Amino acid sequence: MSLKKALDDCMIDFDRCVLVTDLLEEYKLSYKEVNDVLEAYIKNQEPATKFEKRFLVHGKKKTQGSGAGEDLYSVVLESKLKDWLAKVQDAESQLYSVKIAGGTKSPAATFKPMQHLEVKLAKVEQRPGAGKLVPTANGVPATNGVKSEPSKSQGIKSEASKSSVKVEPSKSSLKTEKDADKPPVGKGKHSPESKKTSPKEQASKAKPAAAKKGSINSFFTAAASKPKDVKATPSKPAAGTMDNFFKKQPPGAQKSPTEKEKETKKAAPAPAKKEPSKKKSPSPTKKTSAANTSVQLFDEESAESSDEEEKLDKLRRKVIGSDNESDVEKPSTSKRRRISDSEDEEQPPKKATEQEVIAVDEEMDREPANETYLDEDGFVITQRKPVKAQPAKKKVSPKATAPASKKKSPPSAGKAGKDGSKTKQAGIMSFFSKK
Amino acid sequence: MFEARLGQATILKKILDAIKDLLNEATFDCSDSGIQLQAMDNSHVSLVSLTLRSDGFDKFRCDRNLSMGMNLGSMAKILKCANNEDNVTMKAQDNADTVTIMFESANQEKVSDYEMKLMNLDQEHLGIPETDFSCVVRMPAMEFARICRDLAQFSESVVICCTKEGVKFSASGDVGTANIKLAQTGSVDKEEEAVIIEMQEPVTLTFACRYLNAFTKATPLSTQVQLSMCADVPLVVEYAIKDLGHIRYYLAPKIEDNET
Repeated sequence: MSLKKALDDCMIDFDRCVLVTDLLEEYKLSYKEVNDVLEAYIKNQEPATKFEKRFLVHGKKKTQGSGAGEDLYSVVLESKLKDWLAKVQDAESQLYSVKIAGGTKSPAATFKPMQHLEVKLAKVEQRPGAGKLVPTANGVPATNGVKSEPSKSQGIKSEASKSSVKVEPSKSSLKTEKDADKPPVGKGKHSPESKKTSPKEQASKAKPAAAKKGSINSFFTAAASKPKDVKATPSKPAAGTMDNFFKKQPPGAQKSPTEKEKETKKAAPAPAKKEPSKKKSPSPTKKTSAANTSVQLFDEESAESSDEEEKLDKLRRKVIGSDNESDVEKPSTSKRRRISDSEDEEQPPKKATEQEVIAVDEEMDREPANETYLDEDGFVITQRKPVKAQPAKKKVSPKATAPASKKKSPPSAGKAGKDGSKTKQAGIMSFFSKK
Repeated sequence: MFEARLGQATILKKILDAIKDLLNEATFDCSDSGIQLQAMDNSHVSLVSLTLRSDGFDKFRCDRNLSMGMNLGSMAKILKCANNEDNVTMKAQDNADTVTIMFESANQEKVSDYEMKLMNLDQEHLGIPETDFSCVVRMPAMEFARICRDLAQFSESVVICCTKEGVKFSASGDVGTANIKLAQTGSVDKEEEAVIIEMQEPVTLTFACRYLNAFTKATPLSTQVQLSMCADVPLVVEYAIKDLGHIRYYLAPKIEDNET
């Protein structure tokens, strides 16, 4: 709706103080247009109704000593305008607010700077701390300390945010007021738009994430349709389908995790095992994660094939036998790493492999960048690639991923975890067969 | 031709209220034995099974088996237009794509009819096997609703533990833990206030609160609710609809997450 139409339709309540700044924001017009329209309207109405106008006066304070004084901005009544113009050097005035004179009115803001108006200031310096003054809530700039009707201002804000207004009411006090509220960085292109939209985006991003976690729906669809989901892989070949459940569940014998592991090992190839093993063994990885990457080199290969595993195992024995130096002493600095596995020493190697496989799998995920090879002397060399950030990140990840993975596991289980029990929501389809 | 007439619209209203939160759309299968509805909720965690026997209707006629897919929200809207005491008649021609729902005031002075479009719903029907439940608890429906409501404040999951001593509903969360124990009532004057436990063997199962709370929307239909439980089998929450049939909710339990 245009301003003129709004005025003609009496949509603007002149019983309250109508601020030009509000109109600027609301109708997205230039100051000149607003001023013209408003003046014209007032002119039409003037004989019948008397308006009380306020003007913004800008000029320089007359000081006795020097010619050029301080900048002065003031909002003054029409009656006092002449006095002010006389008082102030280089004075200029612009219509600022209008209301119907006299009568009883509900209190209204007589001064309200524009919330979202981009202005370019010719000679105004940014206050250094100005940006800090803007408190933001959820990415939306809070109001700038000037009290305003919340509902109204919100409305204006949202409207203003929809399209960036580029009005330049040259050199008015609005500028300085406004400018103080603007963060210094965002002068040029830092439109309110971006501020406004970003929280929305955040919210919209956050919502699906929350939904993923919380709703059983997401879990269920994940289980049914996405076999890539961590949970849905080996131990439950088709957890979503009934038939499976009935074939396996009623016997009642829920296999122990170790049994399952064995089974899956036999049945599924190593890569398939990867993900569940990740989850099952947070502790072994912690042990190995820090410096003991050399062990996992073997493990990595051992997971690939049993023959290779044996060979490597032998090789490892050999290496360990040849050198008893502990790896811990210089893990971080040395480029070369000798293999030593404290766990190996404690446990018979073949038992250890299980754990190692797990460790390797995880390590493989974490440190794919490292190059490893056997050198001429028979040592396994782990060469860390120059990118240090990656391993660093990945070393942090085990700590972070452990709880994260727990939460992720099934969206429902994440919350169930809160309850102390690790449960996930089963689908009803798992219990009944289709007709 | 299908025609079914109920003396009180309020029953149909309550039935719709009891299922519309879980199901957006459902197919009413009409046969000469009555009306049946079976549908899973969107997430396929729970299943609703409604049975309305033909002999419970004031008038029931179904020449041919008929499946009427309906948007339950729309139907609920139509039923809201009825007064509780109105007679309600559902009518549909064979192979029709609309159903007519007619409300007649008790004194026959006001008759209103609403035609609703039917939908072709491709819904899976599940075979529900006969189960010997380890525990069957009958308790006041209001009490069950109250318990579910209260425990939902503590956690998303409720653990129902049924032993010979009684049935215990527990929830624990960030706030703390909550335990509500109901013992079998010795002798009660009012049958509807009784808590009766039939137990073969103790059972402990975990269920999602939000579904239980959705089930309790059927509370106005019956004074008593029956919970049937068995290990690793869906919970059955049954509300009898007096002289007409029953509504059963099946809820898959939350199972141990072995992979964590």
